[in-house]
Amino acid sequence: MSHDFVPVQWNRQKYVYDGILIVAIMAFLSSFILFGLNAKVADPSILIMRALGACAIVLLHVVLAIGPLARLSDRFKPLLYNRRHFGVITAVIGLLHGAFALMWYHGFGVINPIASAIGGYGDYGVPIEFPFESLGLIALVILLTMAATSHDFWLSRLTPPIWKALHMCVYVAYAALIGHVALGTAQFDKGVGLFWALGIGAVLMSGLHVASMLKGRSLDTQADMKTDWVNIGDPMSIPLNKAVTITPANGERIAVFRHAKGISAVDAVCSHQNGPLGEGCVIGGLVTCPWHGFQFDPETGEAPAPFTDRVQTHEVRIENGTVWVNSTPDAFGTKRIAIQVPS
Amino acid sequence: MLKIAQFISYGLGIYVLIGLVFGLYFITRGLRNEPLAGRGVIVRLMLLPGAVLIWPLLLKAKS
Repeated sequence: MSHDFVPVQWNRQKYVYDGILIVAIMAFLSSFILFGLNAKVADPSILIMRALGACAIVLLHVVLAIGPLARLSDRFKPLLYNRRHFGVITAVIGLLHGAFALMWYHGFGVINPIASAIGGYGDYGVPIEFPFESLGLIALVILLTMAATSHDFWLSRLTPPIWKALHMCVYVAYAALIGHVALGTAQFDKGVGLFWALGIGAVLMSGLHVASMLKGRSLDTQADMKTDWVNIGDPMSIPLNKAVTITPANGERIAVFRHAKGISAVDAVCSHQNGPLGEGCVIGGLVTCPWHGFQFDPETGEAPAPFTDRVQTHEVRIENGTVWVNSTPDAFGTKRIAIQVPS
Repeated sequence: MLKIAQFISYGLGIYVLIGLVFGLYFITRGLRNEPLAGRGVIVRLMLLPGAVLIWPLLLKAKS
């Protein structure tokens, strides 16, 4: 959070998360290579390169699936935590694959390896002869840029909207990688199995993102903007320690939480990485973002000391058994005592 | 096509070279007012690749 920047805010959960991830990657790589050696499909060096490439694209699918899955089911929310390490490891595996391929296929000629990879053969005008390495290079540059700017310092320096826009380029990288693998397979491998796997992966990714978007819309209550005050309904319709999220027509989404002290409303967008604060829950009296565990006091919108992050609060009223929320946010730091639910 | 590819590869090389010079300046002088834990040596080194890759954004923000 916003205290002194440290290299990594390690804790037990992160060690466990990273440990499981690294063991899974090692298992994937060794299985891929051993299976390939056993089946004698290629030289060991080519198998290592392919294993790294396959591992990177599988990891990218998983990392892209985590967000939608967590929205669709709370069971996946623990995977959101530390997702940035997942992304960094994916970029590193991709870099190893790229470096290996570049040296193996283009490293021993008279032309410099990058020029040889993106322009040394093929024809950009003919799909089946398209130099697929150029798509891999585009994806790799994007993934490396995302990994290199994943530290909270960059979020703070670039501001959340720019940082978020930069990191949304992951979808460009994904599309480029699908093209890279599909064209590479068509030009050299000729197998149809990988095409099916890629197709299924792309359809799954699209389906998950559409389902997640629809779920997000169904979670939101569209606000009636005839007045500043939005009707939330029966207070008991808000799950305890969770929120109902509303979307005013002309403002940011608002999360209305029911917790031990009563009903409070804060902006539904986390000030850390624009995470879905409204999909978080109240832990130890603090609203907790599901993405990275950033916490805020529901009555003031401020993070507990020594952290200085904050979100805006909103005024809440309960009239005739109905919760009303003012869609106009308070000034940062404004304290709104939680409104007790009448028994 | 090869000439264009060489032009792009040299362009990338020059971009990274400028980024490296800028990045070294950024992590030594440019972070003087940032709240880095301790002397922040490891954090500064971690920030170097980012500064190398997005130096035009940082320059634009500075100007």
